[in-house]
Amino acid sequence: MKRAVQRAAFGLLLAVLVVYLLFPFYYAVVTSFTSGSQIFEVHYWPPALDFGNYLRVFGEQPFGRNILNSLLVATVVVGLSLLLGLTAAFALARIRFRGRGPLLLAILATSMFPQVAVLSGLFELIRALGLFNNPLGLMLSYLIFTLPFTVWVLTAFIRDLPVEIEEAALLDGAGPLTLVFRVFLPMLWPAMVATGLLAFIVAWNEFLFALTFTLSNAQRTVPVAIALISGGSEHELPWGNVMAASVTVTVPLIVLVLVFQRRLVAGMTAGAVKG
Amino acid sequence: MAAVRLEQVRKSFGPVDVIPGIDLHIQPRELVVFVGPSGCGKSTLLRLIAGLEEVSDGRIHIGERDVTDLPPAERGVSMVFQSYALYPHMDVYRNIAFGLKLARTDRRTIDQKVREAARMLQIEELLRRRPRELSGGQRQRVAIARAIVRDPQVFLFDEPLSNLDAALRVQTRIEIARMHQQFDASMVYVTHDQVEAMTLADRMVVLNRGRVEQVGPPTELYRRPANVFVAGFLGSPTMNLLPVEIADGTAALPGGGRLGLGETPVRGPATLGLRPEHLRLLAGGNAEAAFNARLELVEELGEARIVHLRLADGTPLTVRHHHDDLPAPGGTVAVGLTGPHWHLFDTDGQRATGSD
Repeated sequence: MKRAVQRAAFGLLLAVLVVYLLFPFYYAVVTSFTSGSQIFEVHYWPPALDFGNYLRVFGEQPFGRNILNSLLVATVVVGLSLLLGLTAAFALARIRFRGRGPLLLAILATSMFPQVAVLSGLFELIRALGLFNNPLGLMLSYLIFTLPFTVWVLTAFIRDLPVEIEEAALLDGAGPLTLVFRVFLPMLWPAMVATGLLAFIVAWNEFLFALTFTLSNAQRTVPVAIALISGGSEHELPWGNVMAASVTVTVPLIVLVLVFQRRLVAGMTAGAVKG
Repeated sequence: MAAVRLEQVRKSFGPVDVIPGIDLHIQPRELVVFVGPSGCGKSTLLRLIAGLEEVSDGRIHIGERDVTDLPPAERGVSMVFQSYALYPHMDVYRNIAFGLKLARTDRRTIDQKVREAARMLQIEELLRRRPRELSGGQRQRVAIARAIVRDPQVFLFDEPLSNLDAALRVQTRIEIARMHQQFDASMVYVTHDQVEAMTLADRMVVLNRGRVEQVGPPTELYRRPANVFVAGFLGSPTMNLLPVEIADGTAALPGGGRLGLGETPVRGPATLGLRPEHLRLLAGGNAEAAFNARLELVEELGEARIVHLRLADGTPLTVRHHHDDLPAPGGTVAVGLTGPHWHLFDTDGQRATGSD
């Protein structure tokens, strides 16, 4: 009897937590299927499955283009971060050189400044490079946040790999590139997937730089495009469209996490056990 | 088939001289074992030969070539690691083939060599498995196969048996001895286990604090240790080393006993080395060649017993005893030599004289 009560209480606690975590997202989904003045009534269930908002999001602005922009930027950022992060982490973890400690700290320090602090300086830089209103500018600036944690996490992982394996590879005749890409990389997949996903999410959701460094609708990424969705008059905020757009852009993230779920979890536990 | 020649090889890590300077010649086809307590520099010396560490000074030759400045892969050496160091993401076949593949060997030759090595080490059925699906002994076989396919001039073994359990250790030891007969390559083997060292070595190199204490065949090191360190390091239980005064061919033992040694040029203070197997407990009488000690503890080994004694002043002494008749602990026994087997070391710990 007592056990049953305990279990029921625990179940209730879990239910409350789950509702608290998922309700906002659920409500966004419900709203995205609602249009007109119905939006301003409280619904816990969609009154009708109305895809009008979704059609309008893609019809009234180049939202498909925005999604492609975001995909392109996020993918390139992930690729560059992992490539640069892996090679840098190999050097930082395994090669003794003067100034290694300070360099690691400097890499960490770059991620400590709030975005706004570097915004104006970065703006000048991007303009000087001629990358204003160009996805390349966004890619370059996103590396500022993705590289530090990529380098740090991968450095920690490479440090934990047994030195003997590296030495066995040296005796087998492996050069630095073979060592990194054919020996270390396959052992680092969990860490690569975890850091890659985080980098993707950061790049996918970034708002401030994307707002500042792009001008035209066609160059915008998704978060900015959503924020700038406007209604028929300046007094109307088209909640239905905003919610439909938000739900749409969350889907790729969920798909990615599901695809890499097993490797992601493996990466988390591997990191946890190794310390 | 190649000799390995170390000339005044020195290695320091920062201000610490790990190896202050070693000269050593390893003959073609010879199996040389580096042995010594942990931290004696034996692994470092092996890694210097492998090229995994750079020498601070001196030259290393393998065959006719000076390899001092060559990278590990170009030295013609293969190494077997204590932790096996297999590539976890490759199956056994690819583990063995990796070095050949990097050397751009053609695929048919690779296949032929991998299968030959696998047959030799009886791991043919395991070729498609990953290392984590293998037992420790199987992993070590794969590591040895990986070393073999590269046709090295010198095999290097870094404590290859330390991670195996006792039964497998003996079995793998025999396998390595067999490999040594089969291949023309020289072998350098590092271990802290003196049984491994004694059973495998053509010659042993006893190292202590980065210095060579003695080089020679196992029996010679056992019978004629060059100094107190080697004397105490080899043999189990270890040799009894007693501080004595020598006068007229007789040693005055600590605690008042005396032991006649016969003719000896040594006079004055010295260290007397007596192996436990060269001592025996006497039933009685024959006081001339014996001294008394108190029996403290007996360890049963089955084929023999290790008897722990104390001299009158408390100096410990061990005797390997082969008979059943033993007094109870606390009793007094007479101890004598089984024959003229003793070693004398001078005050610097160097061998002065002795009869093996």
